[in-house]
Amino acid sequence: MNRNSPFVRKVIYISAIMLLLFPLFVLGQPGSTSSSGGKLSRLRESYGLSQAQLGDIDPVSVSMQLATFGMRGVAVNILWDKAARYHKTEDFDNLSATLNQITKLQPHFLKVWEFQAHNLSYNISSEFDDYRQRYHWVKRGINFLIDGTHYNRDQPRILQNVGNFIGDKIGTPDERIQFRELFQEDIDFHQSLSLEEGIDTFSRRSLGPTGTPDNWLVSWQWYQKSENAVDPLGQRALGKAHLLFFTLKPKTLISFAIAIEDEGFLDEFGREAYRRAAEGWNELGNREIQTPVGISVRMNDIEIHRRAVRDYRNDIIAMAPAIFEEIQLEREKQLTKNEQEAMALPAAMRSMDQRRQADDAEFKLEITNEELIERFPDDLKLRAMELAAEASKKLELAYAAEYCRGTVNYDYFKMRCEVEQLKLATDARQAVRQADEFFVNAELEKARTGYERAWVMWGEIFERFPQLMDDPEAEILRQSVGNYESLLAQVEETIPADFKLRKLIKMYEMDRLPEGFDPTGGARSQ
Amino acid sequence: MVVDPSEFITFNEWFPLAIWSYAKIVLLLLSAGLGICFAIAVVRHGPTEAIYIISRAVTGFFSRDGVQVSPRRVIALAQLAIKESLRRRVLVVFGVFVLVMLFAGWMLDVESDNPARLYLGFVLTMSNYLVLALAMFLSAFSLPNDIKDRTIYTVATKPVRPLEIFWGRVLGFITVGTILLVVMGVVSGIFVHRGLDHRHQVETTSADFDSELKRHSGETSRDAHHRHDFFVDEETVIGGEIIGTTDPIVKEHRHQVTLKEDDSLQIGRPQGSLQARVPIYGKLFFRNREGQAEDVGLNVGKEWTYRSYIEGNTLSAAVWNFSGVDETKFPEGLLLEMDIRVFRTSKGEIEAQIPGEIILRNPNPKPDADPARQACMPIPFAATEFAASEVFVGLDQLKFQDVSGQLKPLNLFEDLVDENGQLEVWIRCRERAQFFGMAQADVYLKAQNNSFWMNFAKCHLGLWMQMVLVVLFGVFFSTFLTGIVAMKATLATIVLGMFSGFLADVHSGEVAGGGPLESLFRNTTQQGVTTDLDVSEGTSAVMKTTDRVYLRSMMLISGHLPNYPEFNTIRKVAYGYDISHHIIARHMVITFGYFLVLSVMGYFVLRTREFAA
Repeated sequence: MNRNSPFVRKVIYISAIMLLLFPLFVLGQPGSTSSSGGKLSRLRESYGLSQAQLGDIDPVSVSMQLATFGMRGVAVNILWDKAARYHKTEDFDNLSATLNQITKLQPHFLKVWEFQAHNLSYNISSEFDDYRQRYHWVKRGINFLIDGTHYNRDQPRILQNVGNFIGDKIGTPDERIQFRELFQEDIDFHQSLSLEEGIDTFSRRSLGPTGTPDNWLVSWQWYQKSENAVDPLGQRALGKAHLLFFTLKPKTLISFAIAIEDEGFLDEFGREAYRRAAEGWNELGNREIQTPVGISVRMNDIEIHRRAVRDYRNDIIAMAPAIFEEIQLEREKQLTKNEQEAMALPAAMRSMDQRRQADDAEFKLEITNEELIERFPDDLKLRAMELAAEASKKLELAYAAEYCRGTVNYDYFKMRCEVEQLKLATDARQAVRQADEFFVNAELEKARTGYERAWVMWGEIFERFPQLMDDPEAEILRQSVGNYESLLAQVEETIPADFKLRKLIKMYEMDRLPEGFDPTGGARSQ
Repeated sequence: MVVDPSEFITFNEWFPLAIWSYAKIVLLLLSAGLGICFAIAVVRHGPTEAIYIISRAVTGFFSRDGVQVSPRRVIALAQLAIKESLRRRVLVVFGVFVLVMLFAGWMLDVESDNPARLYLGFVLTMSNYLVLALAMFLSAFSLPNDIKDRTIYTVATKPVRPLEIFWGRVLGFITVGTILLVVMGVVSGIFVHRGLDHRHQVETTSADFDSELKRHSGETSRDAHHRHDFFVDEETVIGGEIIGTTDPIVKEHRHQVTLKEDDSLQIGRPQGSLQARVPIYGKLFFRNREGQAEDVGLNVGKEWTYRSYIEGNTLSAAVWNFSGVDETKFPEGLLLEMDIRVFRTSKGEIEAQIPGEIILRNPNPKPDADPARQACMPIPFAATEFAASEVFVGLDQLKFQDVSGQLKPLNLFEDLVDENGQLEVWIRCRERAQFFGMAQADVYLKAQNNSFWMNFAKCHLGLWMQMVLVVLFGVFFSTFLTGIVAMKATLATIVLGMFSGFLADVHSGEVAGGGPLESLFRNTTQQGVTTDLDVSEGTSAVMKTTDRVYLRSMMLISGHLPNYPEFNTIRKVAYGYDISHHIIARHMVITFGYFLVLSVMGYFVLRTREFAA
């Protein structure tokens, strides 16, 4: 080897390095104001993955990520284990400090924020006996989650979680009365939400009947924020539960209305709250919702779809009415004697056995579009099949709307919002509440008068909205009806024959209350 | 605060047991040291010469080197070590410390409920790690570098004894570490003081005056992420000034509020966030619901069994037996501090705290004592959690009920404290179906408050002793290993010393997942730590046996190394508890013990090396 060989080697190395740097430059060139940068930069931009697009850039977070030299996954695992240990040993200050470190290392991992915020607000808060300390830790969880929204801008899920924590965690637990009061008095929290998060805590739309911000109305604003963050291209996934995602916002208005009624605002405040809730609920009904099977549907369109199904059916029958009648006659002949007798009776008069036979008969008499079209002459068949296909599509939409309505108990809440806007309803509730108070204070005469006044109003309500009998409303009155019954027993009387809510008593006697039944219809689930 | 049961043992109880263990360790280490030296000498010089070298070293130690050490030469060598340390840019460590301090505010949770704990924990832990790292690097590389660079000959060719070389190095590095630790301590102190210091103003809109009660009340401004409620009673005059306070305690502190002559209110600096309470712990046992004595109470289903629980409205009680209760310590009454946990089985009154009662009782009444005077009437209290709440039992508060049902006064020291100064404190929960939880350290008698800064210094003494131990090990290993190996060996002693508890937990199965082999297998095959191993019985047995042998040997080694976490009293300072002189004395004795052993071992190793021959 000659004396020049080290020099040649160095030249080769440098050339190789230069050569390798070129593709690296092409791939990794950062973007600038005038250029979109290399391939990686462009990909990052198009998928919205750059730090600036994801959320605030925190120098501490970035420094910590760099300082771990690519071992942040390991570091986070160790910290997570440490956090679990601190939780177990009830060292909550250190736990909280460790969570901060974890999120500084993994600021864009949404599950970390969600999991640990839940841990703080739900698990750790319950470790404390003093409800004020519990509230304090609930708030810590909320603040933790809000921090997460800074690092993960416009992520609907995390924004919705903030709303959910402020609404449900403050408004539904056992200590909700105390929590709601603490929230209403928490001026510093309101100010920080207003100044730092842009939540309108001091405007009319956040203020409850006491004139202070209400947790349900503040949570509504976070839900609004989360809905605003849903981008039309659907890049920020909502998961499969679109319906539940969009239900939370209007539901929070119902929860607000229920809460203030429970707190005694059975006046215009309560009715106004239900009016607003009804608007929100109706808005939900008009929103196009994507169902898990991929069909998009509006819940309020259910009647349109059902009518369309009926119309298409009638059109098909109208194409060859004689064939339809012919099939009908054939089917009727197929019915057994017992089935014919059962069908001849009015539904209310049928025995159990006859009901079953009538059901079987109806099944036999049902003529599907396909069965009908099969008998059509060939020249009508094509058009009929087109109509049947349209009917089938509409039927699918009707089923989807029905499924959505069932999932969120749409009809019940719609009717409830409608009823509760009536002065009659708030008066009826007020009357029952007052009568209950008189009963508890042993002012029997006043209680009796109050109850009797209330039953008249409730009777009217049930007459106008008979469906309410089967809903949780009826259950809410159970205790009061019981009070009335025992009140009468004390004066050696029984419930009068013309008692307006006799049907309710029958229902109570049958004790149809299923196990785990929530009389609030899930509106105040714990 | 969680207190390790070993801390309840006094120095006098500990010393006789420790000295016996120490004797065994000394014997073992000396034998091992001599054995290693002998082996090295055999390899280098053959067995006959090795025996001669070792014998000469042993006799030389006792007749000359061990007893004729010149402090002057040791100091001169120490100065050399200091100069060398400075040459090796030891100040970089201080630079790192200052840099971390500068940015600490970014990383610390400014909204923490207990900022003092967080700040103190952070600065002290940082000082600890940095000083240990410094001690390790300085001590492990020094001698090997000298040997490598042959600069050792400038020392070894002079009439210097091996023990002087060893002690000179140790003293030099300890001096460097001490200076650094003192400077770090001062900087940490300033950092904590500045971090916690804050002032509030009176929120004018909230200020209120109750003319009937003559009480000013209101809210302070929101500063340092919190605000306080305050009140000032015009009748409370202390030192010629009308003084009030903020209440309740927020973020572990209060402020004094002074009503000025111009009727303005001035809010003082925070008080109580930095303190050093002196607790007198008692021995805890339990009474079950039938009133029988038990070592532990009930388990309410918590995974962590540090605390035991007693059932409300039954004969269940937690009983503390305190010793050394006398009139000189408690002239006005007993100050109990309690952190009682509450476990509710029913919601109960949400806004009400669960009531409890305290009964003071004579554990060994005189045979002729009136039974009615052996325990006081229950003193009610409400349980507060996660913070030490004070209950003062004044001497005039103690009553008993005589046969006629009348309440009569009791004398604490004559009726309730026995002849040996012992007193029982019974705690009961008064609400049915609710539970109180407690551990031994959760209820104590508070004798006084010591100076926080003295406690801070005592904590640094613990850090200093850890540093001394690391230096001793580093210098010892450097007498016969190359720099990098000595460093690794020193690091191994630190790691084993730090994690000896973890090793024991893995060995006992407390930490699930098995030893290194099993956990490696589980990791690579993605098997959960609590599931049975998905391998044949034979493979599993081999794996577990190998792990067991490995863990046992590790435990054996770590059992003879300093238990570094024991020296770590950071939690005590952070939680505001005085570091007892029993603990400090124990740590000093342990450090001195290691100093003696490692010095002797280092001497023998140096004696056998060529440059010292």
